[in-house]
Amino acid sequence: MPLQICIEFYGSVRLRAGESSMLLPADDIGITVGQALSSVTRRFPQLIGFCCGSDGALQPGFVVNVDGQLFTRDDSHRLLPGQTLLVLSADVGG
Amino acid sequence: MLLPLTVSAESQAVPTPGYHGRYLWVDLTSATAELRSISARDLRRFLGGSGLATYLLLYHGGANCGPTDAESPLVFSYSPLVGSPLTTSAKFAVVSRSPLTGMINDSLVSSAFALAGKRVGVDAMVITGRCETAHYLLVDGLRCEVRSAAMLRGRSCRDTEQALRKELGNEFQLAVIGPAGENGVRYATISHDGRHAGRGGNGAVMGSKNLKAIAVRGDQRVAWAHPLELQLAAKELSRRSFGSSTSKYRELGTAANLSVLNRLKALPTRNFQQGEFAEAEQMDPVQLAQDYHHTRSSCAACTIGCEHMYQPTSSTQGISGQPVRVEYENLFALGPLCGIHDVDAVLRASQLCDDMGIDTISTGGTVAFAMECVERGWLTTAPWLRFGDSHALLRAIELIGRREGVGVELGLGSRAFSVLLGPQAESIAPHVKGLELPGYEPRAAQAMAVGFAVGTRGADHNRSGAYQVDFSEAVDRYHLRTEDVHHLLETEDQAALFDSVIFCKFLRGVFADLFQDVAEYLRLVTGWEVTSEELRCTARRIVTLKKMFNVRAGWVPSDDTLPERMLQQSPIGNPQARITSVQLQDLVRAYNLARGWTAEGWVPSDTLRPLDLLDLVGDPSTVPQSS
Repeated sequence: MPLQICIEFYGSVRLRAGESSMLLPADDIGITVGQALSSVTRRFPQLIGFCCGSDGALQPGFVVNVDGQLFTRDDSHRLLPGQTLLVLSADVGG
Repeated sequence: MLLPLTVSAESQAVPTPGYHGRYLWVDLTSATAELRSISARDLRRFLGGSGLATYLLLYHGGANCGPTDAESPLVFSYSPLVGSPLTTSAKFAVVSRSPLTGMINDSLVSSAFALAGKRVGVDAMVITGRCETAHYLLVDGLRCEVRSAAMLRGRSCRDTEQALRKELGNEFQLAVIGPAGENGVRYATISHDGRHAGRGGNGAVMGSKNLKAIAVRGDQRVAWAHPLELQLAAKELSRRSFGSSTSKYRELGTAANLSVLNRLKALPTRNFQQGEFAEAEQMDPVQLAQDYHHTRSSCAACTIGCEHMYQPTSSTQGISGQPVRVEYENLFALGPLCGIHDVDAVLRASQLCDDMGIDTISTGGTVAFAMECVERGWLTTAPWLRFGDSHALLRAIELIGRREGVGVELGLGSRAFSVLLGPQAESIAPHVKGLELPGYEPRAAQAMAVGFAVGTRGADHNRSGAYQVDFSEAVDRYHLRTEDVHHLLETEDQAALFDSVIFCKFLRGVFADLFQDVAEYLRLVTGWEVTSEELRCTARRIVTLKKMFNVRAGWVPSDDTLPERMLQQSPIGNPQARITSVQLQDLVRAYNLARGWTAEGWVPSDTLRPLDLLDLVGDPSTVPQSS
């Protein structure tokens, strides 16, 4: 089983990406949220300036969630293999 | 019949900019109308919208009579910003004592009725009394008339608007009820141009007055204190409203919440038995836009344009295939909550609710509750009501609107219906204070759980936006701490300001500092040198005023709770979503104390005095209090 992190897109991010998820390779120590988002923008450059910068920094109005549990805007937060990162509008609900 | 209008001398005074400084009082029983003044002090204390209307409701004895008694007031209130160039400000509040909860009920609705209603030359309209037979009220400037609505009886909201538009022309704006309002369904709505003052049954209050519709037209405009600066500020706000913080609403609408809440295990499913729905992704608006013809619309004076319409693919069961507005709440309530994944059926059910004039959340909540009762053998008179059966849902909605068959009981709402079915059913009825829960599983969103429990309107996500706290870094949504409750107060205070000033809450991500920004807009409109601190106090005053209304209406501390099942069980498949009665009561107590109330939730005079409320609510020692 390869070491991977799943990124799931919701709402306007999904609309722009045109896909609902992508997989990223990750080694034993994982990658940071910023590195994950950087990879996302390389695959989906249309997201640059929308939900994050090319450096993986989250734009205002967006938030990420790890495994449906932890909300964070900390781009140094480390994701471990097998974890899932949700990218979504910070305005959940309404 | 033309209503003779009495005009008080005070109502002729030069008003504060942004306001007319007066309201229209109409008594349908005596067929009279009066133009009454509102003091500048009261306008500044309560602003407009929900705040001003609650004040007028309390002032006119709304807490002292039954919701559908003839003398029960029904208040329509505009705001200082209505008619200004500020985006999303064309909104109005409808406030009454709720037939569903017996408590305060303030519903907000958008668009051109607010503009036309304010141009009548008033800041609010208080309607009391009862017509002998079905009538509609025509307010043409300050000329008030009641006309027969015999030909409109039993007609849908949409048909009623079309018929009156044909009769009166497009200059009149309309607020109407459907068959459900006429028939006393306790969660009947008031509809304007397909948008609804939806929650809590204002439509039933209007129906109890034999008032099928209200038509308004006017040409009275208010002055702005700083018109040039206001134009510039409005232009800048409009520009900011096009940014990424509103993209969700603009591009997909609130329906985008469905997949997210499902992923977070917070999507109420099958009467709150589960927090996930296997077919939720089929209902995601990205998918809907591929499967259905999709159009977009907006309210008057709005730059966001959050309304997304989808057209059912075929016409069945007498429901036309017209475009249907889809919001998260109708999608969740008529879909997963009832175990239904047939999107076409959910669209048709939404349209049917709109036509009947019933609140989609309470409809879905009550039907889902009944479906579970059938499943458990507690309801035997409607065995056809089954989870996942879209035909059963459509049949139930039709019966509710007509108050026929099991629709008589369903039209009472889940609380009153559950009382008829017994204690076991009561424990699973999905309501707080009688108002059905919206689409947030409270055990997986515990800030929202407390917001529901303490809500003056009942279980409500518009007066407490605590879900914003749950779905953020601020708290652990599965383990809320008492020190977290200040976040709840902030969302309630913000909502009170949004609903009174009035701005659409979908702008919330646009404001750098809501209170500071609104203070500046109010200065430009009214000329008041108002500070953010004053507005924070105003928001607390309005929240407390609603609480005092409820105290007058019979609120007791035990009302601030959740359905019993939610305090005893986790949703299936999510054992960490658990909150006990003791935990909830600790959080409610912490909330009450943070508000400056007693731990039980009574409001002491020491809190009323700095909020400048003593004169209105009288001596608090006349209501039961406990430390």
